[in-house]
Amino acid sequence: MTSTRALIAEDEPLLAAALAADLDALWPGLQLVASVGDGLSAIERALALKPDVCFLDIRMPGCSGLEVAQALAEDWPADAPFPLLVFVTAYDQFALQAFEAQAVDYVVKPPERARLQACVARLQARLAERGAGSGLQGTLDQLRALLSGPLPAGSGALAQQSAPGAPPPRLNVIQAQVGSTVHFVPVDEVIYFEAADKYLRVVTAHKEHLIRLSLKDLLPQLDGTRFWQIHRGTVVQARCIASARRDDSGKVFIQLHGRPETLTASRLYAHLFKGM
Amino acid sequence: MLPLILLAALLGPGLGLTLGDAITGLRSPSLWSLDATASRVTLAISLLATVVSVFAGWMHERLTHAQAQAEAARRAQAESQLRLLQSQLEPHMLFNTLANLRVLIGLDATRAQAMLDRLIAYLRATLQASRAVEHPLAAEFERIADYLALMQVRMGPRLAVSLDLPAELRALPVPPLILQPLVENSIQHGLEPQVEGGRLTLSAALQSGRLRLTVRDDGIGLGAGGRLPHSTGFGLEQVRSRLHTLYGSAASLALSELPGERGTLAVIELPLPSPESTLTPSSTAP
Repeated sequence: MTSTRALIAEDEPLLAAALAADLDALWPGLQLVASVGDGLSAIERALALKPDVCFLDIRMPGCSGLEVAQALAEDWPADAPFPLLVFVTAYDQFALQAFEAQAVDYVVKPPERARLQACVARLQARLAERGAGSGLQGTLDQLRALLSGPLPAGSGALAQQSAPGAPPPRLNVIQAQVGSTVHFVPVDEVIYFEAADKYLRVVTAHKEHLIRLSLKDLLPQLDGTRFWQIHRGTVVQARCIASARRDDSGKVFIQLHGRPETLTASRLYAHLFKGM
Repeated sequence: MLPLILLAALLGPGLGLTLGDAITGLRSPSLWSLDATASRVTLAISLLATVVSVFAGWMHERLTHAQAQAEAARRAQAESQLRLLQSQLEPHMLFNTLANLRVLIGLDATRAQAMLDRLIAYLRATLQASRAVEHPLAAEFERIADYLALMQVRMGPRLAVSLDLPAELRALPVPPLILQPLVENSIQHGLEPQVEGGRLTLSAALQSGRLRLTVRDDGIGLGAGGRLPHSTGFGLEQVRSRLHTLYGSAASLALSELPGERGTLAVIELPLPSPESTLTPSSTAP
């Protein structure tokens, strides 16, 4: 039997070292292939090294553990088994509630030996029974439930545990600044939004603009029945979709009215494109 | 209130006499026949009695009202102290610090002890801050240094810190832990989310006869994610309301982005105290 390979994503160096030491003691066959301190490195290293197990801190710089999970679910190659995910958190009430409800593995910092032992046992049992390719579907379902549940995807949102429930007002117009001019783009004319580094591309039939806003912060201000998230970095206006075609890996390719390019919907959102 | 008292005083005696006559069957001289001395005495006595009793009733009502107000104020104060305490003992910070401490105990007992001392000093100051009105600026810097040292254990080399307190300002009184929410915001919303971390600079200076306290960081800034309205709102609101309660419009808090640079700048300006109220820094040394 080949050894099990693990990745730890934890931004606090002492806690990362301690988790590694505890796992080493509890799970002799476990090989730690990477220990990273931020979410973006976690995505990159996990996709490159394809570990069997990922321990993901919830609050990390770059992006949160949940966002890492989302990115992995979207970009994981179809031919490798999807890793088992364990979320690690010090104190995030909402996160804990959500995980308990969704039965995703999680441990609380600092993990007690007994609790970590139980987690290791569960992981070993899951690894023993899984075949190549399995696990992804279950993770997709869990992630969909987590992302649509009471738990917002962003770490920033996790930090606002007592944020009042009033939803932000709907956006009617996008104000995009170019130099000293501000262009007003009616939201209804936007065909899709696409995340580009720290910016957001706002694409209409004839133009595109860059605004300094994250997709995460834009989403609550859009009407979810008209604007569909189809990827962690893409939101498209439903009436602008001409057709959707599914490929073998579970991705969906989308043709648009008014734009020549093809958009890709990830596995996480492919279920939106079923025929009636 | 006053017209009611007058009305009662004027009508009361007449009505009383009429009622009394009806019961006893006697006939008292009219109050309005001013030539009768007896009537005038009766009128004076009953007027006085009416005024006194109405006034007593009015005072009683005022007193009850004042008591209710004092009670409400006490409750509001207790509530705000609790909120202050809760915000300073942010559970995520506390549990992460304890998790780190647990690891350090096994790795490096001496460092663990030093970290625990910082945590104790920080907790003690937090509990006291909700009671004391002022402490010297030097003590404020020490407590913030405790908090930053705890954060440095957690964040490792990702957090760099500079503290600049000129010696002549050490004794100036400031509200306890007034800088804490600003420092916490800088770390939580500016530096922690930034992959490479950054530097937090805390400084004090005199400017135009006012004490100017500055917290700046080179983190991701206010605009990133547009999260200012939600995440930093509570801490800032609390600092503002404390400043307002203590100094009225003489103190201010301003939050801005640094033009052309990364990060956030928070500035508190306080009026200088009158010379005799200056505290001695030695009195609160840990």
